[in-house]
Amino acid sequence: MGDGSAAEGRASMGQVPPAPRVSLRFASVRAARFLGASKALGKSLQQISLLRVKARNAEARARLNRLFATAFRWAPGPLGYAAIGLTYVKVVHPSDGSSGWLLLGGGLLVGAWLGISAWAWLRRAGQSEGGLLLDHFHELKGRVGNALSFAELPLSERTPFMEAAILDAVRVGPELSPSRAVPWLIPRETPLVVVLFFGLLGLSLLEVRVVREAERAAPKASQALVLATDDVEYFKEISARLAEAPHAADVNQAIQRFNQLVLDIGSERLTRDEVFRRLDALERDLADASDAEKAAFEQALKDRASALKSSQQSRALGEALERHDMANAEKELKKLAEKVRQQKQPLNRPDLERLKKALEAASQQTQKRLERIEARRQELSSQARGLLNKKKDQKPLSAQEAKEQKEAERKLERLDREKREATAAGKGLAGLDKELAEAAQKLMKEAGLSAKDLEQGAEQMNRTAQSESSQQEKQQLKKRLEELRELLRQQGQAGKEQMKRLLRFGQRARGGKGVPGEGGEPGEANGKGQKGPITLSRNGPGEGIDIPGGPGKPGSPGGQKPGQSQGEGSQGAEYGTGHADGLRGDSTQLDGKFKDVSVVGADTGEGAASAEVIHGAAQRGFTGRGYSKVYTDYRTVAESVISKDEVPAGYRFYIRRYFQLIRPRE
Amino acid sequence: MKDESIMSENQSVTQEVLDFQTKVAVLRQEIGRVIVGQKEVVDGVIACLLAGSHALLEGVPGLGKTMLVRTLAQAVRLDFSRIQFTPDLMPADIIGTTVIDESANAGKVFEFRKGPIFSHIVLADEVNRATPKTQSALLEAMQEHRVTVGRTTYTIEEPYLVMATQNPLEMEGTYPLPEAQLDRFFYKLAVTFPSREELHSIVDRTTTLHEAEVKAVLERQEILGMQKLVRRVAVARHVQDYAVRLLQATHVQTGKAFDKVQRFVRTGASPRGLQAMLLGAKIQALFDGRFAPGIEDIRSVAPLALRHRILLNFEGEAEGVTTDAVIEQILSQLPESA
Repeated sequence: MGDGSAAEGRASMGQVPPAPRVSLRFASVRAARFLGASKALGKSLQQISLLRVKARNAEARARLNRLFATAFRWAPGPLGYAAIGLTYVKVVHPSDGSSGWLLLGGGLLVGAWLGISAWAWLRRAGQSEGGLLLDHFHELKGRVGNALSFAELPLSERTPFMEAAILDAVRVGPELSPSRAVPWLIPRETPLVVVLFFGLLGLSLLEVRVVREAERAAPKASQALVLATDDVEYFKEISARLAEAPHAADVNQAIQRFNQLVLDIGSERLTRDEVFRRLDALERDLADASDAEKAAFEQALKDRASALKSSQQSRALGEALERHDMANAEKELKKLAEKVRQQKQPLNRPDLERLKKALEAASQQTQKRLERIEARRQELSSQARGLLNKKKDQKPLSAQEAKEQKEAERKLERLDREKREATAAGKGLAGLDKELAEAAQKLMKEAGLSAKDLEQGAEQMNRTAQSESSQQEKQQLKKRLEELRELLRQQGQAGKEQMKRLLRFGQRARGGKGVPGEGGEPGEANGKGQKGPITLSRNGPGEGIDIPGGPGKPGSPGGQKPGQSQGEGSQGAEYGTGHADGLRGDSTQLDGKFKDVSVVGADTGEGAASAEVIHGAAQRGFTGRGYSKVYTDYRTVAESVISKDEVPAGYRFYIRRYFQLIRPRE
Repeated sequence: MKDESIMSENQSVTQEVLDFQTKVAVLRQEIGRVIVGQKEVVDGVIACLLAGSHALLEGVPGLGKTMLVRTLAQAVRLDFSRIQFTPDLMPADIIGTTVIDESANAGKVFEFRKGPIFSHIVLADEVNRATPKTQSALLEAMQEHRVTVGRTTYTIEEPYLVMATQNPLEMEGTYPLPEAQLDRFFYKLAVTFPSREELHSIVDRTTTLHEAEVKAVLERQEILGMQKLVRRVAVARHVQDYAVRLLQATHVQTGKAFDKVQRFVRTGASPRGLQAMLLGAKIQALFDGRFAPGIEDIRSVAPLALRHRILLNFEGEAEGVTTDAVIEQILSQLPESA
């Protein structure tokens, strides 16, 4: 029937009514035309590759669309993070650590974003995605997809229907358009991503300047340094005590500044940095002679003392100077002037000769010492210069010579230092030296003038003493400043936790509730007691420092454990070396018979034990005259131990702190 | 040689498809002489005939369900019988019964008198009015195309098509078809109310002297040939895979169930539903003159093949959810390729 329909054939034969014209669409019409075109078959079968290419093309476009859609959907996350992070970095200028965390977070976000995008690209929606997309767009009802699926099968497995389906699809192959079937899609989030991207770009070009001075000028309340009330009171007390006595003008000024600093800390007006800044300034102003220079001054005094002791007349003066007792030295000098001046019993000539020599020797101590140093310096200098010249001549120094050179350099440095110190010490005593020298010169000629010089020397001595006293006061103030600095440092080391610990320490020091196992236990005392020695001990009996106790009184109920002694007897100076027999003791007497005995001590009023005084004072808030005395005793011992470096440096703060907290109160 | 062989086969296949299309077109036209509109139902009934299976027509009274089946029977020159199902209808009334035949020569012998079920096309009118016992009498005939009475099995001549009708509105005195029997129906076709234009045509044809004459346009052998052709159509793997995934999606147990399935479905469609979808898609492709069905064909026949095979749970029934709504959600959300 050719390519005509069966219905038409039947209609022509008159068997059935005329059939309606049926729309045969692709398969019927085109395949019918295809009949007899045998040459075209081979060609058409080859054209399946064209279908494959177009299907792959469509699939690739679809995957790219998915990639872009996914990438743009998730891009606001990393971009937003980058914008916030960049703003933070530019405004806050964080430390390296914070920047590292920011970068790590950003890296993770970008990594996640890349991973999601890659997954969107790699994920295939199915083997025949491209074919299906082409079918949908061109309304081919699965022709391309089916043809590609059938074409995957080996020829032997294909049925005639499959071949026909392939040929049918091949016919429409040239008309397929992947670009129209899968157009590029602009993701919905594109405007947001573009805005974020350019915003980020702009942000990266922006420079934010932070004026840090302004921040310091107006600290927030939360940044203000807060000290415990007890500590503030302690430093106020110190400040008041220092201000009581008359001082030199510069010391007075320093004390006022210290007082103002304590008041400002108390009213929480200062930041931590500000407090340290003011402490530094105060300490700089208080800076005086170094310890080495002080030692040099003391040495200079001793030198003069030994020179003056060579004469019988000036021996007392020399001894006073040796003791560093400037007040006595002044008196002795005045006495000497009186002796020289008196007419009734004048000094004999040998005495005068010896006194003259002693005074001359005393006045020349500084110069002699400087000469000794200079001589030694010259010697070392020539030695070092010789080695240096040898080195300049490019002669290699032996190991021994190199060592000697270094040694000489070190000694030179030390001598320079000593020279500076001796000069400084000499300046302090220059007035006294001058007066002594003049007195010595006039001693043999005119006693009256010599006595006058000696009196002027006494005045010089007084000035020197005053100056030294001022230095001591400065030292005292410096010590308090160091205490304050240490307290602030300790407080700042562990923040709030440290503050809590210090407060807890304070409660315990004032007799508050401590941890179990601490504190005293009630006990019973018996017999006539005597206050035992105060013992600060690191390693147990034998190594402590003893302070003799005062008169004791009979034991009374209550008391504390070791640290107080009862009854007569004294403590040994060494560890015991033996032990009692039967270390394990007797076996427990289970069937023993016991009787409770109660003994009450009689109060004779002969004085309270230290333990009682402390215990009572603690309950009343560390008040009481007796307590002040006990406290002073203990504190003196503690300071003595600390100054001798017998307490590790890390514990000194706590010992001082302890004594601060339990100090006597008004 | 290979090319020529392929070419020859291709010519033959193309011709067969053309013939198929033509015959279907002629059959449609012949039915159209009597039945106005209802294209989907007509195509569905034809598809059931070509698939060698059965159709369940559901619709309110007066929409021409019985008329459609009778017209089809006339148009294809096949035996036709109609059974009006009533509550007192007994299995023997439809299967047949053994009677004593008394003849002069042989004397009295038992003889099996075949019932109306032994026809090519059986119209089971208002099938839900019969008792389950009677309804079940159809089971073997519909599935196996044979009837066993006593110790004797009688084969029903092909093609065999049972077309049952039921009224969804009248629930009084009806017995809903059991699931096993529903599963035997290839398609469940919903006969909808005609449009305005169609109503005009119906009135024109039925209230005048015009009397439509339906002629037989297809012979029994032609129909058998068309049934074979349907089964020769190849299905691409991805299309078949889509049908499989579609069927799985009707089950709650698969773990990939969609929202409505999860909430309203008690039991999903059986594998017969998958068979029905694939055969229906093949027929759909042939109707269109294509050599292989596509995913769109599966999607178009899915509601017809699955709606009576999905059982709703109490919540679904209570909320008035239809199986069509469930299938629609699955079709809209199930990806075409995976």
